[in-house]
Amino acid sequence: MFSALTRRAALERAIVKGGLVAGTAMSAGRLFALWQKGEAAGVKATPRDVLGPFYKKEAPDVKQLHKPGDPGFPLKVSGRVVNTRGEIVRGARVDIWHADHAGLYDIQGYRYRSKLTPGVEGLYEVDTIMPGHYSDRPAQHIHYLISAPGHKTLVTQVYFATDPFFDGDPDKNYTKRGIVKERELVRPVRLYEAPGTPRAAVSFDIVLERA
Amino acid sequence: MRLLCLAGLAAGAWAQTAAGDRTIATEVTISAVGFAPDGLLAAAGSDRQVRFWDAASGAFKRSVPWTKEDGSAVTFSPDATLLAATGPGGIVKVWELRHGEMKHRLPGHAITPNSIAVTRDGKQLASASRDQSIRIWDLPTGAARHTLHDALGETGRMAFSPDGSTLVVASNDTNLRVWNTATGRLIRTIEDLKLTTFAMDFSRDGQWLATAGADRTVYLWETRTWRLARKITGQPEMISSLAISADGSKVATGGFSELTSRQPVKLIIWDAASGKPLRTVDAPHRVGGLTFSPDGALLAAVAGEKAIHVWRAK
Repeated sequence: MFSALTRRAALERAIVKGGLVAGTAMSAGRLFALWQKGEAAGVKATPRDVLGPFYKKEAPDVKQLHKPGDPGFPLKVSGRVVNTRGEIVRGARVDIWHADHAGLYDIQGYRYRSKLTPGVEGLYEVDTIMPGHYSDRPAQHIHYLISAPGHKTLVTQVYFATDPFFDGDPDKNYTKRGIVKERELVRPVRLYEAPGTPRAAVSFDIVLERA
Repeated sequence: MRLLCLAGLAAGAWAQTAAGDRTIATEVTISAVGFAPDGLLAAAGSDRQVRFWDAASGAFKRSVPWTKEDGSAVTFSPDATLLAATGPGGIVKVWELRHGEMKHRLPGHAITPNSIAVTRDGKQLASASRDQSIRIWDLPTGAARHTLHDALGETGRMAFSPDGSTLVVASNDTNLRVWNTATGRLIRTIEDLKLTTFAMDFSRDGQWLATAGADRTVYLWETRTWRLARKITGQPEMISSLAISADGSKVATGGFSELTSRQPVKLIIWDAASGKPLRTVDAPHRVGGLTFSPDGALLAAVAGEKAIHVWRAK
């Protein structure tokens, strides 16, 4: 990850060394500003969503969120934590929590809750189950709270294109009842077969804005 | 005759149990209840009427108009002389209930506020929105005094200290933030809680703040130091509503089920000093807007979309 200063220094060095050949009458300052702006626009930040009332602090850093025999369809959720330049974000912590198959959050303990530390490539992954539905917020969802040094903390949620709530057409129905605000938070679900059992997988990359 | 019957139902049919508790079944959804001057019980209904009953006899007294918007936050001032409600476009409206007039229309929030609170003297109002700001308004003039920037989580419950000098804000990030309402400065962030606070109330002398929420526990904070003094446990559900009696001797809590608001729950009146339950009552529905009568004899709440409950508290 580069700071603005080291980025600028790197570009200046590139000019000196011939790695960047100026072909414009623009001042160096204007060129650097436009360059940075272009990079910032490279990857769109993940949309925000509400935190909700059932966040719980101090979740353990675990990848396995369910126990053998837990009811619910097995689900793998994975992705990368990057910033709007597309760079891997160092030092990120990813809080994930969701309701059980019956739509209940674990208040007493930390079932279906984790505070993950992504790996060196910015990758995170959890094995869990499909969250259940509950009447106050009847679209299946997983909550996220992601923090990282030098970046704005992001609160968001991921939804599932297979959810019956969307009546088979999330493009058309994602705004139903005003629960989901951003179509891109409704993720496709991939089915695959792990030894002997079908499983679902969802990919959800997180793009943080720099602070 | 038919008209008379309908008027009677809309005004609310009172039913009394052997224990002396009352249920008022209304035809309309009730958003908030409060004890008003002269021994009256007030309820804001979805038919755009605030109704007043004699709290002791159940006799219907009068009604005044207000405007109910879908999904809005609604609250009475602590003495139920004012009613405040949020509306579309981020507006907060305030009605003066003695004469039934709309006194203020307070614009400014980018998103309709989901939480409002009014001081005991009716001179300040706080509104919190998912635009991540809390606004403090001067009610005599309707002027915006401060805009406070909240944490990343949505704001839930807010409570003014009895003298109006302090505003405590519970956010979904589980922290409590204490604001000085004169300067608009953050005095303290209480980060001790792991789960979100859904209900709180100050003691009348301002020395204690009781908070409760998802973890089913009542926390009593000493407001001079903002240290946790003690806890009260025993509510079987999450706590959605809480009130301290005027003499500070009792704390009442009402529960709600994780699954649906239509699940029976407990209403418990606790001895504030010992933390022992004095009375436990079955409530048919999520308990909201708990409030003691000024003499501490009664406890009222919205407990069902179309019902008010008035429990005996002594």
